[in-house]
Amino acid sequence: MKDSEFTIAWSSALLMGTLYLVGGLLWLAASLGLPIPVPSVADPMSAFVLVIVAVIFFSGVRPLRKGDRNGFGFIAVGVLLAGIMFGLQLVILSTNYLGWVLGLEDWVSWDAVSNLTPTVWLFLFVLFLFAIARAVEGDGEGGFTKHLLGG
Amino acid sequence: MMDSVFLHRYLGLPIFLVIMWAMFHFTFTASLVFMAMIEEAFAWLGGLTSQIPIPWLASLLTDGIVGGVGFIVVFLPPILFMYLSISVLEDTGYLARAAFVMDKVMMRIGLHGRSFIPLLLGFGCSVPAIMAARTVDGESNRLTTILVTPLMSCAARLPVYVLIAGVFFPDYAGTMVFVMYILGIVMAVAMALLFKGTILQGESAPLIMELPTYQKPTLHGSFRHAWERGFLFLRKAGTYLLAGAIVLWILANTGPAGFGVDADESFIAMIGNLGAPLFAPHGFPWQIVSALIFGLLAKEIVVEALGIIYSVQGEAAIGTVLAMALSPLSALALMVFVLLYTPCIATIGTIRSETGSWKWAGFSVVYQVVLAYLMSLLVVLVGGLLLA
Repeated sequence: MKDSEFTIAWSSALLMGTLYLVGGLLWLAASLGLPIPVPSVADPMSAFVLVIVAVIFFSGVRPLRKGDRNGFGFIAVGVLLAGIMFGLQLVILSTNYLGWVLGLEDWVSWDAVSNLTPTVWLFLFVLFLFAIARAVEGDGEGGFTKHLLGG
Repeated sequence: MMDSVFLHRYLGLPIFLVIMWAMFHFTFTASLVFMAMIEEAFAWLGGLTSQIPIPWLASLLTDGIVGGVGFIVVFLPPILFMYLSISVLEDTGYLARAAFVMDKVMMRIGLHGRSFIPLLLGFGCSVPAIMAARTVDGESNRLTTILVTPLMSCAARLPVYVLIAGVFFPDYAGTMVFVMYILGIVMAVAMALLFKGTILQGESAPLIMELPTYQKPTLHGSFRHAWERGFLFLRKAGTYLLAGAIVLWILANTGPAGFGVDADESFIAMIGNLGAPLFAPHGFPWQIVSALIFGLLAKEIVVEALGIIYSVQGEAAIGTVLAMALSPLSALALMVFVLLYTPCIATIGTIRSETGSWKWAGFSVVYQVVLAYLMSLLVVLVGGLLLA
């Protein structure tokens, strides 16, 4: 692997980690009642989980800077956890939509924005970063995706 | 490469907790709509049965069967979602890694590594989990595992958590359910430590296991597993819980003065009032105490009994009466009590057969009830002090 490939990898890990850390801390602050303009419902536990995902991304930066391929594992697990939370939130959004469509009492005043938590939009940023990394490095043998999957 | 992260010395445990939390958050939140749909269906059915011109039959069907069994069936969606999540985790190969991660924690405090596998199975049902303790080496290690496995929160307790958390902590309901499961693990580890240090001293050995390769879970396999467990729950609801509902309805409608008395003068009130003074510090009225006593048979009966004793149908209605009967602190204490006291009569029987001794089965019941009582009391006392 070339040094430039590791640079792209650790920069991505650092960026993803920073995004989740900032997102998590802002959500945590908003959940604790501080006047932070984060469009989401109060949920300190979910916010804390984002901080843990950030720590996982950050843990990959050091080995990748040293040229250690094991650092890709941290990005892979971070993306996986972020993806799981994103997917589960979409399922929750879908079930709430179903309740709204059926006109169930507790869902009459439901609106989709309340379910678009930072878990959703942060992962969209991660996908964007992932796409950039793939575009820069390519996806063939030795490409970014291959590294993440341990190939 | 991913194993170096999932089994990481420092990150392994937080990752395990994040996955567990995501599972319970999803289980609770995604099932709400389906619970509401089933509830509406039973409310409609209850409306029909209440029109029956024979009063006692109308009451039996409406308050006893629809209000009792129907109310417990409302909790089928969270049970299905939880088993679906566990099945996905198992199929991917992560659950074996979770056992490995927890093994490190358990070994650090001198416990047997292999013990965590039965404990993990205890999230589903205590009976097979206790049987799985046969794989644990050493008599003291095996006995310790058997004794602490019932502290792991089984699926039958889930309806109680979902009901109480939904009523008293609606904004953090998923997190509250997660906290209960974590508390179960913490108490199991703490009690194991106590037993190993006192009555069941013995050597600990590290866990040696072959980790399965990561697999992509199949929708068919995961849904089939979830449905199999859900079907077992429905069969239980249609047999034991139906019988339990009828017995509870009879006890709630008969008393020394005969049939058709108020619940306050019924046999079930007499049973509840026997234990009520003990639970006065917890803030549990006799209705809750009765439900807990009958919950010794099976945990699903706690929720079923509440519906029958309060003679209301549906989560919203029972939520209203519970909100009047309990403070949020007492509600939390109730969740802790349900988590820690004996899961069911089948568990007691399994402990008896696995240990070959009524002494250990009896000890298990006594220590769990005492532990549940003290821990729930602690919640009320400490919570009261903090709020004051």
